Amino acid sequence: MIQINNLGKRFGNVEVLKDISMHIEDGEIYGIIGHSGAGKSTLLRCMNGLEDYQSGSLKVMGKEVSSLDGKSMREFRRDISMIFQNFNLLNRADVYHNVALPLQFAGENINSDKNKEKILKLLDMVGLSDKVHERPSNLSGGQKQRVAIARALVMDPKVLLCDEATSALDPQTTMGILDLLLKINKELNLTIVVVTHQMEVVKQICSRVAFIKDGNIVAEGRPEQLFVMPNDDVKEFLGGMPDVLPKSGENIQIFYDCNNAAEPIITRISRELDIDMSIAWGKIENFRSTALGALVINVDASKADSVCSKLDSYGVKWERIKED
Amino acid sequence: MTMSDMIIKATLQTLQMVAASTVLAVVIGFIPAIILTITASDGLRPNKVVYGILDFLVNVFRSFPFIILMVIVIPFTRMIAGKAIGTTAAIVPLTISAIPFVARVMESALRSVDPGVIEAAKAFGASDTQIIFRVAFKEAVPAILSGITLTIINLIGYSAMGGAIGAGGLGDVAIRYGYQRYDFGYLVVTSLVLIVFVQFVQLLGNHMYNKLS
Repeated sequence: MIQINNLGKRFGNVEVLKDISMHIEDGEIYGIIGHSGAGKSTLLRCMNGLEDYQSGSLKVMGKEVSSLDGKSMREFRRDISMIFQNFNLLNRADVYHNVALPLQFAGENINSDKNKEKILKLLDMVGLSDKVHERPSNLSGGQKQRVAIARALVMDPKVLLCDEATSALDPQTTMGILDLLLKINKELNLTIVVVTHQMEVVKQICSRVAFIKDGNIVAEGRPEQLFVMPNDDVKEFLGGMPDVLPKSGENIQIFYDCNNAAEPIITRISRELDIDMSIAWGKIENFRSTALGALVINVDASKADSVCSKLDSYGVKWERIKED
Repeated sequence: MTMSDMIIKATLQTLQMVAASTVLAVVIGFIPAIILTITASDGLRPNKVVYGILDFLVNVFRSFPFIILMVIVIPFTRMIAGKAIGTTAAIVPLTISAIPFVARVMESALRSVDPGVIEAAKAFGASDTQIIFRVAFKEAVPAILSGITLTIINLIGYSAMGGAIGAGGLGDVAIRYGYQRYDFGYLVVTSLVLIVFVQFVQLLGNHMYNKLS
């Protein structure tokens, strides 16, 4: 759906994107995560031509975005929709007219029976059937984003770009919006690209994620891989590795992935080797309804090797934590 | 002519001058306002040269004291209105003085529209014309309206100076009867009428602003 190869972008002398390559499949929810200023929003804006790029290639549905202009760009954008952090609704138009806006740009009659039915159906889908004639100023943040989502779907797009779409919302409202995005993805088979700095978002809905740092992709893969066994860049982003680990003995980090998440590994090893171990740190998180995480156990230094070989025999991924 | 006849006649003249010049200035001033908005550094088509020239011209016309502008444009007034004195003739300098003001307040109203909304419109495939008229202008209506309110109040003030070229109006009556003949009654009445005028325009402007925003 979206093929990006060696994409580079500069603002004056500042290189904001360096050699970015990614391939986003039809119908997937792809996450782009990173700190503010990492270039992730700029990358997203390259995908619908709101930003240009100087080198490399960015193809959406086979079209090189930089080759589009004027009319062809406007038509292209009707297939690539977008929602924003601050919703960006017209304050002086009611919900109906906000949703109808892209139709109006396309020169359609927004009050035709066909379009009326379509808009009302979309508002029903996002759960705002009772707010058709409200102004945005009378809506909550979550409701505004729902209007923005309905607006984004009115042209039957193939791709939905989400620019920090939940960053201005509280956690509970965020969950509601994420559920809605999942639903849209399933029901309409819409490809969704999500730019965010919130790990929760990626964990809840993304099938794949790319970490962007200083204009480079530093990691890419399934969220459960990247978060449970992060590389150094991802670790730095996640922050908060075990704060205070025991100084004596050896600390071993065990990763729970999809294969062993339900296994009682710790107690089993403890029983089989007849040794004591303490749990020094742990984190279990929910990834699209699977609980995954990591645990740090502390064992006597002399027993560390046997514990590790046991872990190997169970096929569990582990890592010794070196003292700094 | 009795005092009340005189005041009524002058009030109508003032109304006529202010109404005509406001309408003309808003219609004409809208064009440079749009060009300034589009060519500004944060506009749809940034263009330093066009913006710079227009910006300079607007500032030049705004620097003239109205009384001087009125005299300078007399040949032009004669060309347009066919005469240089009278109520109709005064509409020309009043309009000219209000155009740059209108251009400025409309420019600032249009540029204060949330850039996020403009970006969203772009992302949904809007053309530049659609962005200006269906998004920016629509969102800026309340701010444009307060700008027009300010313009009207300014023009009420300027129209009083029109007396200098025989434009009539309340200012003229106040100067000739109130100041030159030391008839205090005329000063009080004309001032009161002007105060009521300005208050009315401001209240109406505020009401419309609240209703539309």
